[in-house]
Amino acid sequence: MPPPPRDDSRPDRRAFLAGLAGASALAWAGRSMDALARPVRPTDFGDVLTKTIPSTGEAVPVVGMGTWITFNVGDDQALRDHRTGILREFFRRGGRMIDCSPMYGSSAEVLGYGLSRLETTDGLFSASKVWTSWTSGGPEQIGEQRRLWGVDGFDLMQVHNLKNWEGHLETLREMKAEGQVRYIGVTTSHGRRHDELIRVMETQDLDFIQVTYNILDRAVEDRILPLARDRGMAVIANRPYRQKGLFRLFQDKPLPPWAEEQADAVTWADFFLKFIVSHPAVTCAIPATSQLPHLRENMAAATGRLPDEKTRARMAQYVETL
Amino acid sequence: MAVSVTLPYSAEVLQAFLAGYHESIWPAQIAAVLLIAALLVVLARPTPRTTRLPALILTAFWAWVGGVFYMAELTHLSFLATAHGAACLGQAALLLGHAGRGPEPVAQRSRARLSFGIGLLVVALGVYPLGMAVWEGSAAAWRLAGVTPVATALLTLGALILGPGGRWTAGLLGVIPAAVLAWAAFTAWVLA
Repeated sequence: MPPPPRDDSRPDRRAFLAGLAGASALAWAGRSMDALARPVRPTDFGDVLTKTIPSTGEAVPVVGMGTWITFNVGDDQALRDHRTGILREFFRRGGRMIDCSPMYGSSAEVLGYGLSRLETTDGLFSASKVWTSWTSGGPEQIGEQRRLWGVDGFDLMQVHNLKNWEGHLETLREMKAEGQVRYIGVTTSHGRRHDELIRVMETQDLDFIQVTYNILDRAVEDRILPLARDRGMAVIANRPYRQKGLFRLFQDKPLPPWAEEQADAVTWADFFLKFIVSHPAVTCAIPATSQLPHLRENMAAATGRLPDEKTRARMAQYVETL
Repeated sequence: MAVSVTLPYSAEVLQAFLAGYHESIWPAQIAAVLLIAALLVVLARPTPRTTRLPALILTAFWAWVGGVFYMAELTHLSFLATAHGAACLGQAALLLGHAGRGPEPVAQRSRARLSFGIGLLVVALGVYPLGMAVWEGSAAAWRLAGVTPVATALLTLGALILGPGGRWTAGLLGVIPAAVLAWAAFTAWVLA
């Protein structure tokens, strides 16, 4: 079933059209498409920084939300209601992209519970995954995810951890052609299977890839992020805090005095997230949280200035010295 | 790259899950307690006619843990639950096969064997569930042997050591319970 037409008053449609217009103008001017990867501040999203999806020019906020562990709360009513509050705050602060997977236990169901109780989910950018060894099971699993989320179609459907990617990408391409999904992609995590990911990126037409990238896990910088730029693929960075690992390592350490001046980074969350999303190839990061204060910190990182290349190098060097 | 940790839920959620699980299976806990009592009586006063009973009772416990705890309930939270449930059902099958071999002579139990076996039973039925309840500040997620995996694994190892079988039997039937305990230790490390 194709997703319903989007309301023209919704910000993503306006941003999409604005992005298309921008892309045309840039192409006419003969400039590099890299310019599209630079953060912009469209009024549609308030103060939230956005980047564009290379395949369409649609803008998405540079910080989204993952749901691994944090939304897997089963039937517990109090926890479900609490996660609904997390969703409400996420949208209130300009968040759009939410990423989930059938591998995440009850997360999709809890997401659907929360979304159905929000006053508005305008601008939701729904990203989920297909995760089964059997190609024939893909459409059924995607249909079940639609039902659990309570959406008519997904904005982005990804092959989880490259599992049976040959079979599933064929299915996803068909679904995209039929309008059931808008974008398709593949994911990896924990830095695994990079060689295979590169082969997939080189041979397949993808809108998105999702990889692990944070200030300590930077293996993707060598080949994968440049390849994504060359191939015009949007990049979602998962595990931006190494789960909670980066905070455990650094929360007792001081932020460098230049962080605020050069990158508007006043918290470690700012520091970690701004480092990630300021990479020219990265479209957004998807930190997961079950705490409102942490969510606010995450979304705050999507505002203000992003570090330039020189500051990024300084940031990486700083954490290495700690 | 950091150690890969693939546990899809938090300690808070596991505790909430266990509390909900106990509500949903009530009054199965009563049956578990009665079977545990029967098991303790048989282990304390073994006779040639009752040597198969411990294995039969433990078969019921492992079948429940595999089929209900993992495959029917925890599967909503964890993609690993099906595999864990299958391992528990495998343990139930092993125990049932052992019970089907017929009566065994009542073994003489050394002092060390008695102490170790009784110690495991005390941990399974007292120290572990009480310790978790104190740690969590609530008994709603009670780790009851027979319906939850770790207490069942501890109870099984204690029963195997105290039971009529020899070392080989205890060793063979103790592999999966020992694996359950190892996984529980890993889980505790991750969730902590």
